Amino acid sequence: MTERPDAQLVQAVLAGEDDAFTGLVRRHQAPMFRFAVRMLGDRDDADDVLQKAFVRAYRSLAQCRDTERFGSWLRQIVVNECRTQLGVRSRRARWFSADEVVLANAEAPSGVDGAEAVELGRIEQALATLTPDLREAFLLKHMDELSYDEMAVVTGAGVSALKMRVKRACAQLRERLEGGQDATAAG
Amino acid sequence: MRQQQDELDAFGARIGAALRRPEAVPSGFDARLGSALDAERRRAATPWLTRPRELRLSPLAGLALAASFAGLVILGTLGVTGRGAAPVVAAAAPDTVHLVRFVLVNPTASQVALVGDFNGWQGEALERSGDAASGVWSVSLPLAAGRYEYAFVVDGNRWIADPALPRMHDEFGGEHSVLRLGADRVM
Repeated sequence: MTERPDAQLVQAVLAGEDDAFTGLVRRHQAPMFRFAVRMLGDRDDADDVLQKAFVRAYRSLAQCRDTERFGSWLRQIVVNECRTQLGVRSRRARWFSADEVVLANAEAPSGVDGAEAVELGRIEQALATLTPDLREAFLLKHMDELSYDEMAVVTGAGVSALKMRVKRACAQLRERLEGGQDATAAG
Repeated sequence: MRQQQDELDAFGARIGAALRRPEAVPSGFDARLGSALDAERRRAATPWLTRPRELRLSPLAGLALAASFAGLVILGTLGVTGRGAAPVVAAAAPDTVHLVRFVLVNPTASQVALVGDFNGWQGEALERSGDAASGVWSVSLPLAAGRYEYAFVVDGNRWIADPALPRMHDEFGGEHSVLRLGADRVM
């Protein structure tokens, strides 16, 4: 059976077919959860953020003007929820972790073998040292592979500012992951 | 220069690919989301007029002072107040749980959350009421007598203290509001 596209599912929910929202959740929850985990560095917080994001999306679905771009609209909500969560942390001094002990004890992602987990852990540790706006831009560009125009819609920032953030994020990550090595040794 | 940029792009792509590994959505996520959506449906199905009514207690002076950003607290199941006067909840029993309505007027916001020690500084979404242009966002919470600290978070990253109530600076250079809710009045 052919799965209905987002626009049809959104219209169905708005027409009262609540179960259609389940289709939207199933289609988008994995990439959105991954973004939240990478952004927040904590699976429990990512879980909370994604729950709130989907409830908010359900509540505000009528405001999704371009139903074919539901994914982008949902991503805006997830990005904003992550920002809120990070703001809460910074206010409450529960900042995620540049603490090596915490990171060393962090749960490895499921389905990742030991060597991959170590490498992923190193990357996440470096990622955690970026400011949230740099981390957000880097993840949207290089992990989720959005165009700069798409990123501008999602983040509300200008394209030139986003390019600068991605460039700075790359430079800082490279320094932290490959610091001291010759650039040609990378890769 | 061009070569440097290409190297950074290639580095970013490599790191992005490593971060693209799936993160399994926690078990129970769908069930918890289903419960949250059911609660949302029940809430939405409750006619506004049959929801708990609140009387406005807090001055609207902040609205005049800050045309685009004005937060205020409206509370009480029994109270009345005059504009510009200190908010009072009248004749409530000592063990009364007050229904406090938090309102922020911000026509340019795309989302607003309420964070405070009463919700563990976890974002509580405000709903936009009326037409979008009015920019009136609100949420009602039941609170027992006590002292509460809170702030509004606009678009996920801008913290706004309530201008109608005393504020305090936090250790991060920001500020939030302090609500003292007595058994029978706001103190």
